[in-house]
Amino acid sequence: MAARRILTLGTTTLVVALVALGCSRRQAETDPMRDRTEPPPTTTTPPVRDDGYDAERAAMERAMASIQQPIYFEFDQSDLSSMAREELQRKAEVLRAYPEIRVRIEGHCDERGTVEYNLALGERRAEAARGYLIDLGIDPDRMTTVSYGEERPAVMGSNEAAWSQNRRDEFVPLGV
Amino acid sequence: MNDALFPRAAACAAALLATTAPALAQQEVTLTAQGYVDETINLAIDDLAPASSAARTVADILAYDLEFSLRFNVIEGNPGVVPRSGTDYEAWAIFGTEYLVTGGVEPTGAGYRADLALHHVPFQRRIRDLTLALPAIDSPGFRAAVHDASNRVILELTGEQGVADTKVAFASRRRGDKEIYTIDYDGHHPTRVTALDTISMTPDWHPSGAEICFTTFVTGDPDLYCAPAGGGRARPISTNKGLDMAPGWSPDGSRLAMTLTKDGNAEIYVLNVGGRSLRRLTYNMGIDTAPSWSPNGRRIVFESDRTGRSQIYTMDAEGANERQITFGGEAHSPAWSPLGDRMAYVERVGGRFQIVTIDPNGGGRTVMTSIGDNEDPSWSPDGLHIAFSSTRGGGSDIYTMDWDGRNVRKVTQGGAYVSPSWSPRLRSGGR
Repeated sequence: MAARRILTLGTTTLVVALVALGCSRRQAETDPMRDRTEPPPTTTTPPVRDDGYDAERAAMERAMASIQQPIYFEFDQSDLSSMAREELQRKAEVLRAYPEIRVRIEGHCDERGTVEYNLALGERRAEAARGYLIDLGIDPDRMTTVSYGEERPAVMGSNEAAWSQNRRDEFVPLGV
Repeated sequence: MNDALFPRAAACAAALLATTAPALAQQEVTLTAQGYVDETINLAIDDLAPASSAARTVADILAYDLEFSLRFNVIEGNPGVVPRSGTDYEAWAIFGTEYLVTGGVEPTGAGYRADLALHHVPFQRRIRDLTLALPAIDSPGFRAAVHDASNRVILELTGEQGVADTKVAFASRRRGDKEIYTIDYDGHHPTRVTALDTISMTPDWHPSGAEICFTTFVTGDPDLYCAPAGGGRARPISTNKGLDMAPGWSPDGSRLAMTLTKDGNAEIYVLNVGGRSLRRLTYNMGIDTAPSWSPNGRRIVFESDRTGRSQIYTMDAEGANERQITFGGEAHSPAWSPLGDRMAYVERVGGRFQIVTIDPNGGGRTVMTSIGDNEDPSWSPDGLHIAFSSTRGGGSDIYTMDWDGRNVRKVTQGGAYVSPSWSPRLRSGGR
């Protein structure tokens, strides 16, 4: 039973991968300027008549949701606070338990600072989290980073309450 | 003052002299001290056809362009003492007029024909005819043709190239995204360059004027793309893993300085566009970014936070002979003047960003702005003006000011505009 399930999963993954590959190539040929900022849409898994599988799937979705908690930074800093480290340790546990989950780490800044400096600072913040997760044993190939600088604030406003929410790394889980 | 001799003109002339003379005198002293402009020329524009809005627009554009050049003091409109025939040189001379523009603007089938003449008043001589074929008044070509005429007058009378044909590129914020636009230097004809529905930012105009290059998130990973300046399909020019950002074209357009993080942290590289060869210029743990070239293409000014706080540095175009220019505080976004003798940058002064200029050797630091946050200085091709973004009006808009901080002019309206890049000369053969 377990072997068959792995086979089914494997085939599904292959089909999804092929479809995704075909799509992205077609997109690239016809419209390279198309916005591909967002991850490819998660293909709905074909219904599998197996309660064990559904439970596994649900558990993984819960796991993916659980690693989305952002971590926060001090002004003009990319050092990880002890609170950020604890949060990253929790994420590492989840990532170790679910090796099929990949994650995109997005670095963000508050609006103070120049556009270009903030892009570089956001990259530093994303790389700081990725580096720490690598130290905790997570495969580097499972994590990508991108900086949005000050372009995508979580909270609008020009006060410390808004700024402190905007100096952050966001974690976007990318499943199979 | 000869009020008694010219009773009809007295009130008007007094008003003119009262408003223009003190400003003129003050400006002349400052400019002459710096040696950028030896003298300002008093030029009058006669009423070209008082009842015609086309004629009024032609006169207004000429007046704005010539005043903006800092080389003219413009008297617009016939002050009343001069006969309608326009060329009573003696009467014009009482205003100290050295040069005079006369003529008329007549409708033609599709647009207008302007027949203008330039006169030298003291020599009492007509020295140049300017005939302009103008399209409809709301067409971009109308203002462009008059801007060209302004540049011809500036060249004729000063020997210098004007900037009346230039534009400013900038990024426009819209629902979390940004698109690149251009606008005439005097705030007319905003034109969309990109329609990528993502974040496209920090434009830099190629010295040919044909393309604008910018950072875009179109693939999800920030890359550098270039698009035709008038809008059209963007093409990738640098697409490394991690950030490709902060484009800065060498003055001859052959090399693109930029910031990449492909080797782990933000470093400055130069792409030789013809040979596609890439050279890394900086090696340290700090953020090195915002490269801008000296006018001879031999040095690059940039910002680095290698000492903890961001400061301004220069280096050779090959990366050697680094030199720190600013110390203390926090400094960003340097831009080397096309004249070579000054740099503009952004400094945090009392918690706010201000535009500052400085000599390339670090001397002569002068704060240019004081209201709101002021960022992203970009020089006009004649080195006499600086475009920048400012929050002085609430939201962020694009403004221009003279090299000495005077004559701040608002270019955009709407409060969602950042990262200006002043174009090269667009219709008179580039820089």
